[in-house]
Amino acid sequence: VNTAAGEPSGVKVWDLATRLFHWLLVALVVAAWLTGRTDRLDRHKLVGEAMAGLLVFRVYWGLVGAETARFSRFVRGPGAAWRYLRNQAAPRAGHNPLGGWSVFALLGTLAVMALSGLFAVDQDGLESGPLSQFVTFGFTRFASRLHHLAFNLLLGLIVLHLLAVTAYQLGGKNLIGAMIGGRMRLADGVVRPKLAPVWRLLPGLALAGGVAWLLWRLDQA
Amino acid sequence: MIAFGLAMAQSPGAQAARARKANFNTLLGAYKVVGDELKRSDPDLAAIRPAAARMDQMARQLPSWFPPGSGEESGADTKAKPLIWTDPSGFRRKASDLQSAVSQLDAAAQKGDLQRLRAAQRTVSTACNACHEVYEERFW
Repeated sequence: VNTAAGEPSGVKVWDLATRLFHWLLVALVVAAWLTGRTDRLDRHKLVGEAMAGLLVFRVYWGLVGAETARFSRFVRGPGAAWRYLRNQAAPRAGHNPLGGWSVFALLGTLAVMALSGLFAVDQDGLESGPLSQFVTFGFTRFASRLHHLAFNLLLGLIVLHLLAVTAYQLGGKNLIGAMIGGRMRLADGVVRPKLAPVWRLLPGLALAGGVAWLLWRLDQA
Repeated sequence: MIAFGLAMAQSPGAQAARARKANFNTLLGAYKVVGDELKRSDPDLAAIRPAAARMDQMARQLPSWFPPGSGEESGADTKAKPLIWTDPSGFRRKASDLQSAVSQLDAAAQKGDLQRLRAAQRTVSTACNACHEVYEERFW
């Protein structure tokens, strides 16, 4: 088995696509928050359309991408989380069972926000999501409320995420460095995670770009 | 406690608050019909006209949806700020701005002037927003 032993600079835990996704997502969440908060809904919608494309890419990468980015690897049952908490789990590269839940909750909440935003209408009636004309007025109000509720949940999850990362960082695990450079020093015997071939990015990028472009077009009518 | 809550929920103020919410939903529902059509490349004036007329009729009644006692003190779930009743002249001014904006919208709709309709749409939304900014409790 190809293990991480004897590599002082660490092994590649997060591939470039996953890292770029992470930091682009951070930028878009900040932009969405600022434009939403200041009622610049024309720009907010552009950010949301880009975000929808980015999330589509992440779902694709979670299915066929690098090993540590795959849902099948990091979304684990409560048993795995319990063993991890009791220090009984064998160390693995990538998200631990608890972190996996946190990531899944963050992505799920953002997906709810992106979807509800497509149908939402601002109460002053001028700006509306790119798919709002296909649903009833009642549904647009429901979507708007859901958008706001999900935002509050997102804030909570972000705070948890930052606290957890800080705790690990203080505990000597350089998670932030790993999300920037991709590499991390792993314990002896930990299996090196598989990366994905570069060509596999292409369908995902096309899909993500297509979704963002389509939403933007729907908005330009 | 529960009996008190029920009594509050049925008070005339709370009923007025609920009716107000229903009226705003009707008004905004009609505005959505106009907005949805204006989003299309070939807006259907036959759909816009009755919606704009309904909006015009409702915008005139809007101040009457805010009788004294229908604020949060009624126990109803409302985002109407007390300022509406402590600053009635300011509130009436905002309401009359909306009325004139909506009547421009209706006039453009009945005339079938799409360019003026789109301009009026912006004026109406600006008037909505100008009032909500001051007299409505925001989400945050």
